[in-house]
Amino acid sequence: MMQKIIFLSLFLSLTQGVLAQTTRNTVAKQMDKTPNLKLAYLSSIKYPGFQLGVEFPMFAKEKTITKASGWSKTKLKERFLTANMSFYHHPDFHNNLILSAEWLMRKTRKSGWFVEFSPGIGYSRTFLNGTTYIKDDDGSIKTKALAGNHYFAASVGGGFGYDFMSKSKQPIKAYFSGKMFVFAPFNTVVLPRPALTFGVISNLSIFKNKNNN
Amino acid sequence: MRNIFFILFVLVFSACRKENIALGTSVYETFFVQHKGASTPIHVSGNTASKVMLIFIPGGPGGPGLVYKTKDMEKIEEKYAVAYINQRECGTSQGKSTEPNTMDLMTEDLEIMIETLKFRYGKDLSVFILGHSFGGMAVSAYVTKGNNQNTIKGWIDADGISDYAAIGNLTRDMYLKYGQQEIALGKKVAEWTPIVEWCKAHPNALTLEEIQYINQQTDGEELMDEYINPVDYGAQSTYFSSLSKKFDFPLVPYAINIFTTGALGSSLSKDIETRAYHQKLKNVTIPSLFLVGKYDFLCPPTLHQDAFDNTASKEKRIVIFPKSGHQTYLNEPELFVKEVSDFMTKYK
Repeated sequence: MMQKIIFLSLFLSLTQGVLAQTTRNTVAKQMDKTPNLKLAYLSSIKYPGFQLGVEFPMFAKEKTITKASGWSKTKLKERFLTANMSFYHHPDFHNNLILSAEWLMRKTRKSGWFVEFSPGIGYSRTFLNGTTYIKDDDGSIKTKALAGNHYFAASVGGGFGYDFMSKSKQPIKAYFSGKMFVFAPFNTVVLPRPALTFGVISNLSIFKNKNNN
Repeated sequence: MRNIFFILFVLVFSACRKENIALGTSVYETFFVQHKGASTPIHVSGNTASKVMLIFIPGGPGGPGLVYKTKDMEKIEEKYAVAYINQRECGTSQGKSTEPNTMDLMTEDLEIMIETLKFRYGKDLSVFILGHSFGGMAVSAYVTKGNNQNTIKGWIDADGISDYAAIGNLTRDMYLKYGQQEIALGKKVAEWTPIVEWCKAHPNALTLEEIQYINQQTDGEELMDEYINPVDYGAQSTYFSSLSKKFDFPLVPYAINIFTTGALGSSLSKDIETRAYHQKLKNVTIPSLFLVGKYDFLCPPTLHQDAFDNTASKEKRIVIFPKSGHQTYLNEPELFVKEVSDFMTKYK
């Protein structure tokens, strides 16, 4: 028991010494509440599509870590609520239009590089890629326009990008992200569907500035 | 912004393009049938101008139709058209069934598919149906319901299951027969002995659990492989891979369905266990063809012989493939194609 007390006291005194040399400072950052517009090429497996989205800024924090040596690191943590429209075209299977809302968590370094993570939920409407036939109530076979199915859609994704504002002062970001969609109920279970997106994000204030001019 | 919405409109609604259906000698087209929540694709390949079509119903359950489009099947496609279908919750079907999946619901689906094919290709289309393995149960269910047999020219049961409860006992008898034979010949004695002993210890009608046990514990075809033509699965999968790339085959739904639709406890597997069509075959009078492998331990030749004997049709034939197991279309493809093609030519 005595040995444990001595060891604990020694451990605490040493770590206190280390901690005293590192300061962490977190401040709430005033966010520009103007939404960001995002436009991306989306590839679901190998099938082409696109994604349009709007990021609504929620809050931001700037976290700085400074060491006694003078070294410091600053990261901007931002949170957005995003509204997205995603689409892909899979011949002989379906076209899929997905409307979703995501909670986007982005961490940006002073260098301009950022990483992000976003879980989301939404709605998927597929359009079958082929003539679709049904048996009508009168017993006759007919073709059905806009035939497809409706699903609940969940997604989780993550990626990285670069904010051109940090160096060249351009209000534009480029990003690359991977996402996994899950559609349910699909037959007896669910349908997972991976996607990659490569796109740009621009702050809508550039349109505001043009109008003001 | 207007341009974006225009492009979106074109892309989203490109799926509802009006289709020109032209008959041809070397056609490949995909369309869908929707019924009670399920969207099931049909892939038609071959000579639609012949006005003769074979509907190939896959096994599994869960299997996709397109996996049966082998290089050898193309010989039939040169003469006639083949419709490779996907049943609900199987293959590359989509949607969500609004009712629990059962053989009755799948029969309803098949009725609508046949009506659709005649709507699309003409009322004078001569239709044959062929079911492999579980698909054999689907064709048995179709021809024994009401007046369905009058909508087709003939039906083919290929290694099919037409009486689920009977399978276990017939499979046990087959394991016993060949086990004792092989032990007497001194072949694979260590493998056969426990199987023969289990069969002798279970001489009465097997329960469903015992049926599942014996099918899971042993692979009769593997034990009898010296008597069966080997299948070049490498070449088959290479060919299927080339097809799936060519036809944008959605592999993920296929993989999910094959493992879930017929899984133990699913509504369909519970329904299948109750099905027996042999007695109902007494009402079937249309041309009937039964194809079975001599070493098919899953759906033994004795099962097909019983189905054949019960079928009332005067135009019926049973062919036992001497070097085949459960996949006659792969073990002896030339014989399979010849039998199917000759049957269609005779009765079209």
